[in-house]
Amino acid sequence: MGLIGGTAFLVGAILLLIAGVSPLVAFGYMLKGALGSASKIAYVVQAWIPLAICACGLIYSFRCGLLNIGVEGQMIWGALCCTAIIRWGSVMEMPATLLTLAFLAAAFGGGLWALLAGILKTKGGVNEIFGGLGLNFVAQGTVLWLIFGPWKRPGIASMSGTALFPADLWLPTLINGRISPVGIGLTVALFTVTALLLARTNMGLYLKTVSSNPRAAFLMGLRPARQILLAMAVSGGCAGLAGAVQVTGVYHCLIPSISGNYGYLALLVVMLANRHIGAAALIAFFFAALNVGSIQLPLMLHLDSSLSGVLQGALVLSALAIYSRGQSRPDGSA
Amino acid sequence: MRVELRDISKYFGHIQANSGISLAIEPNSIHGLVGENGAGKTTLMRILSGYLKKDGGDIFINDEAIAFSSPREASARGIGMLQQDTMDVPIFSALENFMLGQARGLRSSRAAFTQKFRQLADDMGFFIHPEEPAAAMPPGARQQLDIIRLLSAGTRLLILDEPTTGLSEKQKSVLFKSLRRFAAREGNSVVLVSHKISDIQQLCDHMTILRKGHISGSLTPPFDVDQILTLMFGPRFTHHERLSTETGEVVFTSTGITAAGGRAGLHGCNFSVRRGETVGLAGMEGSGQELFLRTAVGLTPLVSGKLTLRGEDITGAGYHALKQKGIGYIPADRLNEGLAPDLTVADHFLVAENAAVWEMRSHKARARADAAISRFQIKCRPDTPVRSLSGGNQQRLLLALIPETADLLFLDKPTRGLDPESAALLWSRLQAFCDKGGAVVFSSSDLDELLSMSDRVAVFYNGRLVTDLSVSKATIAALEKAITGKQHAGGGL
Amino acid sequence: MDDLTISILLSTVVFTATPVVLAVIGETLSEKSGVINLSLDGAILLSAMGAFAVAVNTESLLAGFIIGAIIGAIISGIVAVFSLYLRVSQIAAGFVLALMTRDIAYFLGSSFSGLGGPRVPHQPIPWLSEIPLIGHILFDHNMLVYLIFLLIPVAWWLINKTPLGLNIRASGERPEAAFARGVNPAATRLICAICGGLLTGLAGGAYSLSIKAGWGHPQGAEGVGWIVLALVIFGRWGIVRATLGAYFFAFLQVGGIYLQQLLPSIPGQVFQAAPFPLMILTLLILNLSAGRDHNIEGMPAALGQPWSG
Repeated sequence: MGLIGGTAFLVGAILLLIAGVSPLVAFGYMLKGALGSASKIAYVVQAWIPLAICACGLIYSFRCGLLNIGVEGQMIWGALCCTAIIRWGSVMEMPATLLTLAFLAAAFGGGLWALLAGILKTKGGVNEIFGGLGLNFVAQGTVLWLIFGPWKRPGIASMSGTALFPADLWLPTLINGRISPVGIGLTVALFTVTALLLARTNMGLYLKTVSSNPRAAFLMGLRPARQILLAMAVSGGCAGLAGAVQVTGVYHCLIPSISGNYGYLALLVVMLANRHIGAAALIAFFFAALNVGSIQLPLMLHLDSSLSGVLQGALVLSALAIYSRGQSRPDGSA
Repeated sequence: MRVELRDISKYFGHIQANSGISLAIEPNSIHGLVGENGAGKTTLMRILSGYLKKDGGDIFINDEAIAFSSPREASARGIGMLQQDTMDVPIFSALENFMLGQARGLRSSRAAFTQKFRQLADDMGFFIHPEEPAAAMPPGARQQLDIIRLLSAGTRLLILDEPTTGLSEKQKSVLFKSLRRFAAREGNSVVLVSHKISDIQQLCDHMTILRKGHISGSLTPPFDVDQILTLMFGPRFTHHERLSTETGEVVFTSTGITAAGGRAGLHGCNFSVRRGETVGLAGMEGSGQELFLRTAVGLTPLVSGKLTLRGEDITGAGYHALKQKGIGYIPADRLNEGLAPDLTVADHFLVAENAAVWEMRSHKARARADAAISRFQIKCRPDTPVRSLSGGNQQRLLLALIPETADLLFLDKPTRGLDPESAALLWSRLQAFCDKGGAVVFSSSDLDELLSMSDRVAVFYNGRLVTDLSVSKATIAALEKAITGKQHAGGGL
Repeated sequence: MDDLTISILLSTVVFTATPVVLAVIGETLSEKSGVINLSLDGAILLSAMGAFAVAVNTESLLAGFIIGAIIGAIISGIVAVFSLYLRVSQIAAGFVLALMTRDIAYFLGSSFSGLGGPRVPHQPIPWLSEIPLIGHILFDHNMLVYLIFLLIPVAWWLINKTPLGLNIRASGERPEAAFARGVNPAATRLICAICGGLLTGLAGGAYSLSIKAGWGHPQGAEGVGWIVLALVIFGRWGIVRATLGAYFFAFLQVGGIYLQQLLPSIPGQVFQAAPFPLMILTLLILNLSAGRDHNIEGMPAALGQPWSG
């Protein structure tokens, strides 16, 4: 663990030195920017929610040995379905029911989008990486089409997204409108349910069996294709919920970059967590803190905030090299 | 050139595949290397041709000590090996496969290589078209392609590993003629690795017999078949008679089943087994017995033919359906096909219960695991990961995992790699299973085991069931002859 | 549309396709040898940034392109080394690098953001550029465009017609067969990945020094790497087919702008997403026609699989 962290921060420090900034100063600003005040921590939590929910879903697909790279598109598709329900029912004056419905639709939409990648894999032999990647861009294209077409803002369509929802359809928030208790509750609930499902029911075991040896799984009476579809659907369902949180709790409308790269980042989280669910929640928080902390870099040092991404990537890359010496493979493939 | 191996040894983990093997291959000779499956023939030849590193011993060419660490270095010294699976790139044309590794740089010397290819092919009496893709060529032609590739690379010592598997008689005679012609040339020699004694008799002028990693004999013509068989299979034991069980009605039949796969496929196989019966399937590796087992349990689809179970037509039923109907199967490759290496022993019992995915994990499975561990004497704890079990314990686990409702077992090489204790335990379990009216069909390469544990032995040769006889009428010698394709072992059904 | 519009449209297509074609050739070469370089998207950006930064500082386009190529080679070399020698899955390493190199590019490039820099000069080929229609479409560009006209047949010839190409394809199809014949598949793969990376790096340079000259966050080359991966599949691992795919993609992009004028209700982004459904469809058709054994036509049989000789 120390080796992984050390390598990553060495990479970060070298880049900072190239940029002509003392690494200590920069890391100090990042730390203060992430955890320096209640409002900063609120920011981190706001970023943690979608990241953790996506990571939670990815636990299922990784458990089944699938690199569900389509999580980004599944999140988008969830946000899209959520928006559709809210737009359809916004005249109904039943905010709680409508929001529940919208979240269900988001889970359903994300799950279906993932299922599509799963079916492409099990029936069509299209690797989930290419299927998922392709579907990501299709989802992105669909959102852009909606924002600039049927769902465009009254007046002029723009990259700022669809019209804002009525305020009674915003998720209630605390601390400067940043922390949504519903979002936190949902995240905690998803992690608890996942931990229970994977540890207490047959599900986690079946997924692991298929990942460990699909041929043996078949001989023992399982249907590997069904387990793959199940893992994909649940994984996508979670990503869809993350999309719904972003739409209803953060932006209050559908924006083109609604997934905010959280899907891809969640893949890194789970790779680094090496499939451990508790570790995934913690690493998601750490990554969220890095993202928020790095916002200080442009403000204080005129540097780009993407240093957080570099640190995250370096962490995962060195972890991959180290884990591969053991038997478990973070990406689940052979 | 003269090639000499001195005191070669090779380990795979704890298993010694070759121990202290010394042999010399004289120029202009065709040297036969025989032995049963697992005797260490292929390992020894892979060492000589640079594919494997030896753990001890020396290799001399014309009395000069040499060391190889890759096929390339062996090839530079004139040693080339034709592997059991032809080493070609399927989508490449014959010519491209021929050029690969020989042609270098950017200049396409296609014309020159075509000429060389044609010349070598003509010279050896082969008919291969240079533009045909390897994937579209019959196995014999792909082998010929590999041979001229080796010859063109300057091979003086040509090693062929089981080259006649899957060849027709006509292709075989073309191959043998060309090998004789090759060996007759100045300084060339051939090593033929085979378990087919008839091949060796036809072709070789020296023969070395390996048994369990050692040289058990070295012969020159005229070869005596009985003597070779003794050296191959070791001294005969007088085995204790298996306690015969009352056999009941027919449980399972196959009529004219044909399936594709393996090296030889499966052609028109008729077979039946009765309650209480144990039937052994004999044959060299890849002769069709493995494919027969997979077809019988619904893992490999039939091309034609019919299967019945207790009188009911089960043709076309899948593996899961047949499992429900009481058929159990254990694959030969225990860790790669039978078990999930990352799961614990108890987990396997849980999975085997096939409960719905949303159900809570059953605690009964844990109790079943505990019970099975003591009943089948599996040396592990319930939470031991399966990858760390020994082969014997893996086999015990697989047997314990078969549902108690099963009454017909198909076992692919159930005792391969097992220690005698594990094998004895397995057989006592199977005996008890048959006493209760179950039936067992198993394959084995151990003739002693086949004769002592079966009621009947069916012999496969080149994808066909050639002999099926009661164990009381069978002798080791007759089985050996049937397995090696020398002749039918007698009676039949 | 009249002749002039068509000629301008096609000329723009040929011009904007340049970096895509470069990267497609590089990735095809790499995948032919068995290494799939998923890091392309970030690698193109980082080499674009590097090329621009060096070109601005040295005022030498050549130096910029050289550095861009070196950066591309280093990134793909890392993917290959992770896969060949550390036994990390190519996919996982490539994916992480795709994100990480993009972020490195934004981080290190921020001080070059919005700066003016050198740009590959427009050099119509005398005589040829004056041929009606064709001249403007093909020969009224800069050196990069002419370079890829040369590169396409050379790469095709190298892979399909030379003994070296035979080694490359064998390493991607069946490395053990290549090994048995004395070819070193690990070294072949490493070299092909690095050469592919050189071209990826040039593609990056082509963006920041020609097509979308300059640097910024975003630069404008985002997403191209993923499209290149899709195009290689779409082209079924053939240089000519994949290159045609790249031009087709550029046509969708450029034509999208024209089409948008005709069909204002459809945003250009929809046309940009078009290569992906096409890629999935291609894969699906290839897979379904391959039948049970899942041998996809054209796909190197050992693509992405580890090899250690």
